[in-house]
Amino acid sequence: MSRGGRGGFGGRGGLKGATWEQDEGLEAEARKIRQNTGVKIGLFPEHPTGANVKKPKPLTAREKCQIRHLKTLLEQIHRGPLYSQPTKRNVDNPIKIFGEDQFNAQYGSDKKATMDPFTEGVETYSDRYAPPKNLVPKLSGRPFNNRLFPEELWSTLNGEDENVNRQKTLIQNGSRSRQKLKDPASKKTDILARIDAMTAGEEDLDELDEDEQEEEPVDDDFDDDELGDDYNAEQYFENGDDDDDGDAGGEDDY
Amino acid sequence: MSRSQNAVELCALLVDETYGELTSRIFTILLRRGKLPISEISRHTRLGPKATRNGLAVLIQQNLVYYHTGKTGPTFYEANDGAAYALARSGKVIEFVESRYGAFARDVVQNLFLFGHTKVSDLAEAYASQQKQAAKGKSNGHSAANGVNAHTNGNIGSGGHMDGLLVELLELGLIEPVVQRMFRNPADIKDELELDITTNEIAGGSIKGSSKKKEQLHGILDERLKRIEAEDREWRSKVLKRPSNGVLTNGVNGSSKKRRLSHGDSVNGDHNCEDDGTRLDVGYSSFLKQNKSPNLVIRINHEKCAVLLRNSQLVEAVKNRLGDTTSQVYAELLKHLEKKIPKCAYGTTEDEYQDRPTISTRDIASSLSKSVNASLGIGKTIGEGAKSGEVAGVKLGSPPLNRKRKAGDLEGSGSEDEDDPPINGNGTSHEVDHDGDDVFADAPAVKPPKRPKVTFQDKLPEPEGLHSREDRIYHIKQHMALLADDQFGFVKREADGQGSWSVNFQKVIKKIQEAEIDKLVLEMFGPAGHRLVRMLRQLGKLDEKQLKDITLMKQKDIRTKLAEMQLSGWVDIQEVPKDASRGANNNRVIFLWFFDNERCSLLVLDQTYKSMSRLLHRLEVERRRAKSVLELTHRSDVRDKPPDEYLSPASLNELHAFQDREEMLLGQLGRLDDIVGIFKDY
Repeated sequence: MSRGGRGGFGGRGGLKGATWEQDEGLEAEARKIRQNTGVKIGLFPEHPTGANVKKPKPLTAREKCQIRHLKTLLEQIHRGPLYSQPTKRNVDNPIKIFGEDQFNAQYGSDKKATMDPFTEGVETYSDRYAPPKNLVPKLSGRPFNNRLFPEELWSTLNGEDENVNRQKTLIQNGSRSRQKLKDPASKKTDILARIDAMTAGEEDLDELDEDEQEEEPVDDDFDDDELGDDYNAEQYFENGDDDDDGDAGGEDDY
Repeated sequence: MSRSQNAVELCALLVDETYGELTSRIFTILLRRGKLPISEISRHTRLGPKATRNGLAVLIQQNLVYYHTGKTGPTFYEANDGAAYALARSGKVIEFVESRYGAFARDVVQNLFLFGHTKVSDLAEAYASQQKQAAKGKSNGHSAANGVNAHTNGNIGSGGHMDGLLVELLELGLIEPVVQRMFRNPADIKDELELDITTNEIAGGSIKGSSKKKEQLHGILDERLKRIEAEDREWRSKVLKRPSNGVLTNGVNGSSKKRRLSHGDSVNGDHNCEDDGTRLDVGYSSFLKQNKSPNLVIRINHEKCAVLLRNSQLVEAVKNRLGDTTSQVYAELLKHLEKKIPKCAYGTTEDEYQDRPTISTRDIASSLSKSVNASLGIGKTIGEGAKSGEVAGVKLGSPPLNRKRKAGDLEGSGSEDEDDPPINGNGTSHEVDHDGDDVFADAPAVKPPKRPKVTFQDKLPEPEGLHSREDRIYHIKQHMALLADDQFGFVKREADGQGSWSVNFQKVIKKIQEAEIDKLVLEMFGPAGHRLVRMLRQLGKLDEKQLKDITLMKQKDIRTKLAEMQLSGWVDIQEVPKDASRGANNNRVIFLWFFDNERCSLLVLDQTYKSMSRLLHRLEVERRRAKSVLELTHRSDVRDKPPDEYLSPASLNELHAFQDREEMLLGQLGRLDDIVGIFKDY
């Protein structure tokens, strides 16, 4: 990122001569000066509310336009198949993160394990309109140029190489899904297409599970197959609640 | 390349904001850990293989990740933080495209952002389907006046229209054809070449110690890199069947034709333009034929985007310093230059500097929009002028006098310019009357004292008929002089006798950086701190005592201020011992204060990254607060209707409050991005 290759120097850390100790003399001096110039001093700087905070100048028409475009773009991406929904556990009071393990631990929680049964447990009719929650980006919705990807990902991309046409209809329906919801005729075909996609997706999963057995076993939050390891008590507690999150969540939508 | 913690955080947040959590997690690990194969990514992120692979596919599709497969062994993936940062700029790029090429182009570019790299055919197809659906939506009676739909419903042209647009954008370089090489880290490519050269071409293998061999290596390396780039360009021009330096838009061609009709003297350039126009058509249709089945893969070229955004930043700076009209002239100049500048760092090497793009006043005059009144915004001095130091005399000149002089000036310069090139090397000798000299000498009215009264013409009523072409050129020349004489040195006069101009971007940007740092220092440390910093910058390293004498401040004040600034890293001390024994005896050591622009740039950059990521955090918090109403608006049955149709007044208020905040946060993000641009990319 930083050109000079010495990115990390900020604030006081990198300065010679500056220590973490408070410099009493300096503070006293600064206080005196502030008194002389008539600035109020307290233990802390004034709270930046109301009149104390400086307001940025209002946005120009051009900036507004830029923001509008950015928002539109983001919204379209979020509606598209490549966006993956957050699975963070503690959204409201995030803990301080000290390492990779902790960092990873905050993700991949199961909604069912942490939900509040009084407010969100009951399914409602309007839930069917809720936007789909992709935990894993859906690649089936896009044509890819395999040649531009590394070979080891081809199997992932190519899951449905044999029926390219269906893919293309899926793009068109998928990326513009709001349109089809308005139209009952296209809805039906779309549902059919989705069922198609579902079955294809399951085949995918089977393939992938084979893949997985070859690789080293990893702690897997998104995979729904535990490889027959049912009696492993530790895994039961570590992993049991994560069982069927990705794909079961998907099934609910269909 | 090491990145600061804040930069890493910002990139991760941007990816998270755009493509979601999974991709962001993978991206973060790649940023933190460098190159990794898939299995390692899985291990570090604790993600399943399917999730990892899908995530990587998305990242590669959007070019957020480089990959490389060696001859043996696994494929390694590496984060491309430049592309991640560019996500923050997408709004600006789309806005730029819209303002120049219209709504249709905006949709195309937006789709490109959406899809990452795409085949032209796929893009066209997605487009056609959108069009169909939009039409359907209309016939179903949905007024698609809001949000996303409004965009797609704009004037969607035919496929041919789109191809034409794509050619145009390719010409400009805003989109680029994708080749395999782009998926590798450029630094990697260089390293590999270097290795290759050392083993194969330079005898003896090791280059350590011998500077001659090193030089040789660099020579060969540069050559090879250039060859690769040239291959790229060749390929591009093969596709386009056109010389790359031609004038491309019809608007320009049209105006040049008009110019020739209205005016007898045809410069060679006009013929060229004309030729280019016809060739464009030929190349264009052949391009269409070739690429009807195209496997041409294109994507947004972020480097070029930075060039375009830099231009708008420069225009903004000119607007603030010199005024509106001058900035419009400058914008026109930059528009001419931008086609020849592939990336912001262009022009730093000796060779590139040699053939830096130039532009003549005449070309600017011919392509400048007729709606721009070039005669505005130029300050005029009345009377004999300051060069001779004569302040008295005609200093109380009245507007009528000025106008009269003006009229004479027009006729005079008009007849003169008819035959000769407008400016020669010095740029001043063709002024007909003595006032011309004054304008050139005094126009950038920065040095205030001893100045005859300056009046601005803006208010004077000018009959439109007076603005002949020569007049216009004359005015534009004055604007150019204004730009050249400014402290920032926005343009540079070329000494080729043709009256052409070039821009030394690096220098201008450096000036803007300094101004930006000054602004920040003034804000944070008050006038005293600002004064000290400027002194230190101007005079280099200074002892405290000297500083006291020069700044005319009390030593106590200086000391406090400097200490304050040192604590936050803006200035620093250097210790110079007079003899070998340092430390204990303090009077034998000289302490010099200094201020380093480079260092402060890094400081500003880092802090800007930090505030940007905090803005994104804040946005997330605001979203959570407004969650209940946002969930409603995201429901698939209502998300395309205007919210006031289905929301209760209370929740509508809540939604608007949120939208205001979101706008504010994103707006601030955009402004900070400008700063990042100034200090890093431009």
